[in-house]
Amino acid sequence: MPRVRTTKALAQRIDLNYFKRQIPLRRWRFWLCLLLPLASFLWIGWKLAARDYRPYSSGPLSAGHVLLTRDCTTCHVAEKNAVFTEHASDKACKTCHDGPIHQTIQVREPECGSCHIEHRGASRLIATSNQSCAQCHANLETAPGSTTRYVKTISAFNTDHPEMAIFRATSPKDPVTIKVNHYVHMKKNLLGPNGQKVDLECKDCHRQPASREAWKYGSTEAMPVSTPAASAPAIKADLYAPDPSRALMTMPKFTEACSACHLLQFDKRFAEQVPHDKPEVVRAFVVKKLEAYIAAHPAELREQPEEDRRLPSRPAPPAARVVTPAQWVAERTKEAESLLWGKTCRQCHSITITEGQPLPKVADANYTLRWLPRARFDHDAHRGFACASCHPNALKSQDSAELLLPKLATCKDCHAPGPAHVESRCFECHAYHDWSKRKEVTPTYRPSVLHAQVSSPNPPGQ
Amino acid sequence: MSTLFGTFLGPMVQLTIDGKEVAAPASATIFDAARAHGITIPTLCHMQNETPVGVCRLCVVEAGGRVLSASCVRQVENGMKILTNSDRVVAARKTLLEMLMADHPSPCARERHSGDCELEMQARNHGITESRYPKRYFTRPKDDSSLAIAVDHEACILCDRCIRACNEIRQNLVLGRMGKGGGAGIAFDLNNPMGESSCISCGECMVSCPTGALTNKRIAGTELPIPAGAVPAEPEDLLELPVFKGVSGTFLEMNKGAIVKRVFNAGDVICREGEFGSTAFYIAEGKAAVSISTPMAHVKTSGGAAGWFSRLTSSLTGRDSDVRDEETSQTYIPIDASVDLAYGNPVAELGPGDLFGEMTCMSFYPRSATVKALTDCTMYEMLRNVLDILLKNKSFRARLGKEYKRRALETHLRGVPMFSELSPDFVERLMDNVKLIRLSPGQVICKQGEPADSFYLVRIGFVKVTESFPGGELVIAYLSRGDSFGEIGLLGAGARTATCIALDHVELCKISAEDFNAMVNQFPGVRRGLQALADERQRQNAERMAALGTISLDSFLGQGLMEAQSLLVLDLVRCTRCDACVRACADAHDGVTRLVREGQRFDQFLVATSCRHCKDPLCMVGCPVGSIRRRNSLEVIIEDWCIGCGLCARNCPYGNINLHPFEVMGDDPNNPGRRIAMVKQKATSCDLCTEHAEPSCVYACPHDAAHRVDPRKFFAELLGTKVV
Amino acid sequence: MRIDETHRVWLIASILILGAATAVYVIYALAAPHGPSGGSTIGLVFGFTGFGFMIYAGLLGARKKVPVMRLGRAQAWMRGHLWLGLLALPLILFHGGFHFGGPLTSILLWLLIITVLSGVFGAVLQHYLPTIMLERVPMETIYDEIDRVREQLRTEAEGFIAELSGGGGGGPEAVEVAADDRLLAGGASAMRPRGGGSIQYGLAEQEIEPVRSFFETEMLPFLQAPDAKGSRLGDDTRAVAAFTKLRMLVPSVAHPVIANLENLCEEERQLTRQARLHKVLHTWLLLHIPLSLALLLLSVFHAVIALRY
Repeated sequence: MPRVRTTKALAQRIDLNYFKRQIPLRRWRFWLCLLLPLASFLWIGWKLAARDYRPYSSGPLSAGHVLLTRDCTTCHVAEKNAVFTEHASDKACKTCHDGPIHQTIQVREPECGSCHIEHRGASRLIATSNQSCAQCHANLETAPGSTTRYVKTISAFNTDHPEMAIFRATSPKDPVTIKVNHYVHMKKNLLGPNGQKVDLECKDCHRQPASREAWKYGSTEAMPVSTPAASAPAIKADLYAPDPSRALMTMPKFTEACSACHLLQFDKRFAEQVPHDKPEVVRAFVVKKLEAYIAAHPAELREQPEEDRRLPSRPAPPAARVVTPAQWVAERTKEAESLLWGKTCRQCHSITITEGQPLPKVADANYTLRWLPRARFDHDAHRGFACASCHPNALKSQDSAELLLPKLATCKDCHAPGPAHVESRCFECHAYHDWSKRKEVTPTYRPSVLHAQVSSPNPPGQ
Repeated sequence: MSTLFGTFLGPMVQLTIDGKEVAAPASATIFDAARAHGITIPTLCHMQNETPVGVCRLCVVEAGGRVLSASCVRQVENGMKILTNSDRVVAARKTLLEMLMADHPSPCARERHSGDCELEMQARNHGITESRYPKRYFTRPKDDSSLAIAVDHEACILCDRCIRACNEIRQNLVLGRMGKGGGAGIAFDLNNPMGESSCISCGECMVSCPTGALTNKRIAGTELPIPAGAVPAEPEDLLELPVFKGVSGTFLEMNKGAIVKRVFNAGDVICREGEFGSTAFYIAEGKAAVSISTPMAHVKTSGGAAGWFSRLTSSLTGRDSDVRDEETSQTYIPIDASVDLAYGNPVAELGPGDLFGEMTCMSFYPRSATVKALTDCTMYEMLRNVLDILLKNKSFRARLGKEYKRRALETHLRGVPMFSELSPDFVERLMDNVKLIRLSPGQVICKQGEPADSFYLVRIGFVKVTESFPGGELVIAYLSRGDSFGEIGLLGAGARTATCIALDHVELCKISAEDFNAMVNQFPGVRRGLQALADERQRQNAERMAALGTISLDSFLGQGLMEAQSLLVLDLVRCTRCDACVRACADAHDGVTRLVREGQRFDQFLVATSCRHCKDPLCMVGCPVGSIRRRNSLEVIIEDWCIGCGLCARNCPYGNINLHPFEVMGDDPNNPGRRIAMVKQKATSCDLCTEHAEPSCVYACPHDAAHRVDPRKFFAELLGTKVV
Repeated sequence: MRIDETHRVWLIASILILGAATAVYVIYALAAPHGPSGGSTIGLVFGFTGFGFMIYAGLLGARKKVPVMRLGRAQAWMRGHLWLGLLALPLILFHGGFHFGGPLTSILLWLLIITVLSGVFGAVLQHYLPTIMLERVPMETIYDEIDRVREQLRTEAEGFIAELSGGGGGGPEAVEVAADDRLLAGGASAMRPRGGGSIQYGLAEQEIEPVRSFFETEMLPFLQAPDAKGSRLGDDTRAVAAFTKLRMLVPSVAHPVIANLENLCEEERQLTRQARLHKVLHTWLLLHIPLSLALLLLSVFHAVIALRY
């Protein structure tokens, strides 16, 4: 008799309460549903009880703050009036850092945390986004009653950063008074010292102060020491040139860059050159040299005219004269000075000879060491480049009034957003805090990491 | 000698019997004369108390004529010479016996039971072991329809004794002859099966029958076990009871084990609701309280879906938590006694002369109520055959019929709001004219299309109402105790609109057409109510008929899906077997699910085991308290007075009905006055969650896999049928 | 749940939401001074919206616990769960700016990713496995009740053998499982009609010996451990061969019983298959649900802590 398979027979095999029983699948589900949330609850609770807030950290701290990883409360402090929140407020930052104000006329002062984003890993805290600056500078306002000379809208370097201020003047020019024709100097086969033909390189004149390389075209003999007044101005180290020995180029000194070719001979009787110094010093030197010469060669006092080789129709040369040493010196000095002031010195300097003034006035060199007072530029960081790749005009410039400073476009070739370019955010060149107004802060932080090691209860530094 | 016949018998004659001179009254037969003088002539068809007919011819004797004479009818004459044992006579007897034995199913029932089949005895006495004649070539039937008497026409020798017993002695005029020649036989009424005839099971024919043609039917394997304190009822005592008057004493003697007398003390529980039984009780003395002790409530179990921390701690919810919007105010609960129980207070009283447990006894339905003795009682507990005798007994029917009629008319008729305005006078008049008719299982009450001539109230039993349509028969309803039918025909065209068949032993109150018309004419309210009922029924029938279509697909039918009005199908392509439907069902029904996610598949669907609200609701047949019923022709619901007998669960062919145990506090039978927790049961089945817009299982399935559908519409594409 | 045309509205809405969110994110991310961050206004909006979607997705579990309360059809909730749950992932990624952040936020994002991906995996499973079960397990029953049904099958098999050798006896007795607490549908179990098995096979003991020995040596161990490897009956083809061979050893009058035994073994094999497929269909939930709960809990923490600090 075949097996029956009717609805009733099938249904009556089933216990009607089967769905209320626990089967392995449901049991597992139940226990897992109980245990997993419980485990997470316990984990949270345990961390809370141990006052370990690290799970809540939204990312690793920057390199400078890494020691604070376990001391969340150092920064996350409750403000007086805050009910619930414990954000990392300015107050917390200022327990260790001073953040001097940017400009006194600024309209609002953003919070430390709005520009310096923590918990982003070991990146530099200083690496703020353009927005941090643009929050004011995109539409610059100043405190009522004050004005600013800065452009109103600057949002990013690659978009609307204005051209260098010097270039925005009506007729931008280099105020330097030393006349240098770069084009001539950069020609090939120049007449060099000792009659050789030379090719000049940029670095033969323009170097970083820390450079120890020998000046090729500097003077070999000991030159009289220049007076401090004539020495090149020193570059003060500040935020924008923290290491002046490398960031900017020195002013080329005559004795280092020029003197090998540009000889300061004043008289054919002497091989020596006049010192490269103020006019009075030069005059004193010339006079001294002449006096010493005439004392040694009194025969020169008699000025023997040369054999007359002129044509008969010409008037006769003057008769021989005998002059006093003083006269002779004066005459020769006059000759030397006219050579010097009129030709030699004037070749480079701006000399003003005023009637009635015995000595000419030499204009101050007015050499600009720092073209960008409010931005940081470091030649050392750019040492991989050939000078001409940024200063192409230097090779062609014939006028020293021509500004050889590269325009912004040159910078933008490399400093642009994108993977194949270099940092172009504001902080790369500019700083917010006016560090000249820096105040000292005495931090009281003691890292918990060291708790076990530090025996003295006093924090370091006190 | 003449004293044997009494002095009034008249003149005597002289004759010789077997050489012996005897004197006998002139009107005596040879047989009687011989018997008076100690000579026994073998007979088969002759009984002393019946008019002799001389059909068997076994009693033939030589009387001096050319032919042998039947001694049972031949009167004595003067000078007769009778030879009762001559060779010729003996040869004739032997031949006769051989011929009779040829067709006799030896050993017949009587011979097997008591060894005293007269035919076989005679055959043995005459040394006949085998018959030389062939058996007749066709078989005569057996008739098992009577509850008390088994009929085996094979064993019948047409001796006519039973006919004379029934007609002459008892004058019930049920038995008669039919047919002729080889097809001759005995017939009940117009050759009806005995159980469907007007036979009242008095047993007279049975005690008359010489062979095993009419034998006492024993209920297979049982005699009533006699419980402590009971004695088998003695037939003499029984015959003293007025209700047994007219019953054959021999018959009662034969059925001695089937009725016992029991005495109960006040407070004894006689029977409990929900138990199965096979006996009925007749109260001779004393009073008993009949009640339903199962609480009127729906099943509730707590701890629904989380089986983790619950066993089945059941409790019950009151009616208001399971209220349906169409609240039919049920005023009474029909039970298996001559009273009905009021819904609000289900307690009633039975007294002497009352009979209860009929349905249990006749049709083996579970007990419908608990009966407890109020005073000390004497009761008779009887099996089916004795009950049958009782119920058919004229005097019983005369006495109790009136009571039944009264109660039927009062509770059923006037209890129904529609009939409540009938005046007491009219009811009295009805009572006289109303007939109680009994029907046996399968008997047709009325046929579709016949002229309508009566209105019926069902007193006991189940009536199946069917209507035929081009594709077959459609079951319209099952009517049980308290229901009425027949009004559509009477109010309408005058022809029956449906066929009504008795499913089991049914008793109806039949109200004739004149009385019915008088009723509706006199009481317009009744007419309106009946008309409304008729219209409603006709509308529902029309709906059903119209929606039938002519589908015949084997597997569709094979699973019985055609029968269903609403199937719960689970789309197995979408179902993830997550049990959300089952949990929802359990949640909606206080922790007890009405749905099992098992069953057979049809196409890609699983036909879940959940009530199909069949057109032919087999579950409804047999409910002893009528608590499983239909509402609005769709959903089958189980009311809260279900007594948990489990019949509907057995009847449902799909296993959609389940029983749930629950604990209630009840009286401790061992410690009267104390209460003890008892486990009872109630049946549950899907009720389509009608209080919501959508069944909960469908609502809760997250994968849109569960659907409650009308199978013919839903599967119409599959079956290629037009959706009507 | 299968994704079909009833999801169209949700699909379109999701695409729109995703598109809008992406547009907002792109604009916001480009404009943000230091890149997208969870604490910015838009970041918080993304975070809360994503969290809201996650909560809604989580509420599906709660909704399933009160299936009868009319809070919206389960299908609508399920569709919402699928689409909004899926959307939570991009929204949270937008919230965090595609960064994983610190320990807690990394764990959260991983939990979310695994939860959403496991959910997608489950949804994909639900497109294929039910059909596979429909086709390959015709005699499917309820997974929870497989052990019980197997007990009943064992008894049935023993009944078949008894029927074969006893001849009479009327088939197996109804299983007496009502003895324990469990509730049986409809009362006594009725697996076979009673009393109908009194077929007299009229076979001698040695004729049915092959069947009996087959039953004892192979079938009974198989029925007791259907999942164990190595039994011939565990494989469809080898079982067919085994039974064909058995049939040849036994008179044909016993073949119907052998057919029954074969069918029974087939049912056992199908139940094994069903158990396996059911586990495949449901095991991903063991990952999805606990992780989602942990996710929700930790998200609350994260929201509170992040807003505080």
